[in-house]
Amino acid sequence: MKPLLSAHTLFLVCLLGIGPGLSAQPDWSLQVMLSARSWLSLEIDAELKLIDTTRYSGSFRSGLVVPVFLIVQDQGWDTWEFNLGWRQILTGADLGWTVWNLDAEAGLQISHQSQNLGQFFNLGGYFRVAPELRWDGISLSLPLVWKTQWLTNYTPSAWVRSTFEDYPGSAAISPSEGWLVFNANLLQAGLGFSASLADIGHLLIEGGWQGTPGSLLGGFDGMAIGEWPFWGRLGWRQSFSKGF
Amino acid sequence: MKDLLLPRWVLLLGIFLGCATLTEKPRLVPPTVTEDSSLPAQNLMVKGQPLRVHVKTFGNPANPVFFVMPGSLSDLRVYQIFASFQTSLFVVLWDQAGQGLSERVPASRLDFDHMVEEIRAMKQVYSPSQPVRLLGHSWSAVFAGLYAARYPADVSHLILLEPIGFYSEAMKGDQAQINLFTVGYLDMAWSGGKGAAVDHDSLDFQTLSMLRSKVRNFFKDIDNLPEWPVWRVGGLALMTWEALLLKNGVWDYDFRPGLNQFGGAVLLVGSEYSPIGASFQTQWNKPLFPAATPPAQVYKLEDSGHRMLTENWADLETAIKTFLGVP
Repeated sequence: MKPLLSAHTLFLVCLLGIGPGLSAQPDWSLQVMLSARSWLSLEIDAELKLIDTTRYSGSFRSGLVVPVFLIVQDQGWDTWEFNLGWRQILTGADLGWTVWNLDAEAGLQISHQSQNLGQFFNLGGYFRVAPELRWDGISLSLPLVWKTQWLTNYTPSAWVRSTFEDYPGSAAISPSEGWLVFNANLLQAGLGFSASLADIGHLLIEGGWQGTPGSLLGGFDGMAIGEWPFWGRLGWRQSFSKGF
Repeated sequence: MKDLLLPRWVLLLGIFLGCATLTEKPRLVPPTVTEDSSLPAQNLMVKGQPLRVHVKTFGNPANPVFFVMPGSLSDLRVYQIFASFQTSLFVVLWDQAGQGLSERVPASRLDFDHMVEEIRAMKQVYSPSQPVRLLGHSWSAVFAGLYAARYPADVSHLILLEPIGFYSEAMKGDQAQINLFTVGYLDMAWSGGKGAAVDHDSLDFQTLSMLRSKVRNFFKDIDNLPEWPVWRVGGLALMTWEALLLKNGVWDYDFRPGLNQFGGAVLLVGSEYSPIGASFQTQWNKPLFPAATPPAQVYKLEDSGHRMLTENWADLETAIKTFLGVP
């Protein structure tokens, strides 16, 4: 099968928000994100959200968030991720020329990947909180994210199994298989910026530092195995104000 | 009766422990010498600190000693092919600290000085009074060169299989070119983003992926990678070594001091397809051994990339045996 893209890989993220929110008149928005989870790994997101924006400066807005993450590669659909979360935006204070919000989201995450080491089916969760300031269609935020894996069902590849063959010791060993607990926590912190452009949508930029507490690899040392110390996202959100 | 109870409990305990021992222990990676005492191992003292390494020997200890050191992302598993030299040499293979099935140590004990002194400690055990034939491949070829520069009298024959350049200017070309868009790397980035390298087992497990990530193209045919059997790779060791080459994100190192004083025999082997192959070795590394006797030579291994042991062993074996003067 030929690659779907010249770079062999297309990271396609469909973030589907299914409402309604708690408000009576929710709005739709479509978001396309080009982002880097780790340096040079690209995503394209499409976000369709059903959340109330009519009470933007009101006390809160909230909604069910259902992001779907798919990686298309030349071997097929080898990676997918599905999140089911709840997002709530609380208005902390209306200062006249600006509004202080707290954008909070928490959810469950299931994902699957088939790769050289074998197949991984992960169960985990995430929590995101982002205090933000808004004025004149512009916002600045400080996103803080915690992602964690609780359980992983792992099936080793034939190649991994081969590393246990002819073991020179006398201990009887075999590759781990089945449900495992990895100590896998990822913390992200950074800055976010969004701007409303000519009333046709919003430009979104965010990025910052990320790391695993207790990792043996600090800073840039883990890049060889894909653990990058920073992350970034660049996106466009298109809103369709069609209450129903 | 009470007197009989104790033996029963002992028997039951013995049966339980026996079953527990016989039960296979699932692991992400095979255990090292510090976890499995049945592995063939050697205790060393390196810079005043104890170190236990995985060792395998072939041949008669009375014969001249031939040290073979695996490169990075390797262990001695594939290098056991050097057993064919045992008819006239005593072949000693070992996994250096942090690699293969040897002890895992902190990054502070994986710097180049420690790696060189570890070779010194091995020589004091296996050939304290006679120089050794020393072979390194890739990263371990760098350590072999550093050792020969520091202890020139310890080495009679130095065999370097495709080391990187011994100074950073040599790596300004496309030798270090990487492709972070490969499927293998993006898979690693996705799973690495979930973070799990919090201990050596999980780090070595993740690092195993590098053998098939294709980020660096040192191969004859990158779409059909040659096999490279390993039991376990050393993640922290490789990351530490690579980080030590960089200053402010660019290559900045110089391993040349002392190489020009080495007066033993030197064979540099470069493959046909690797970017640090025969032409690279001829241009950058061979001139660093002006005192080698006889003059340093470069052997071009045809029809092979960097994994020369599995790509063209027949020609490589012949070239090394010819150089060492053994049948």
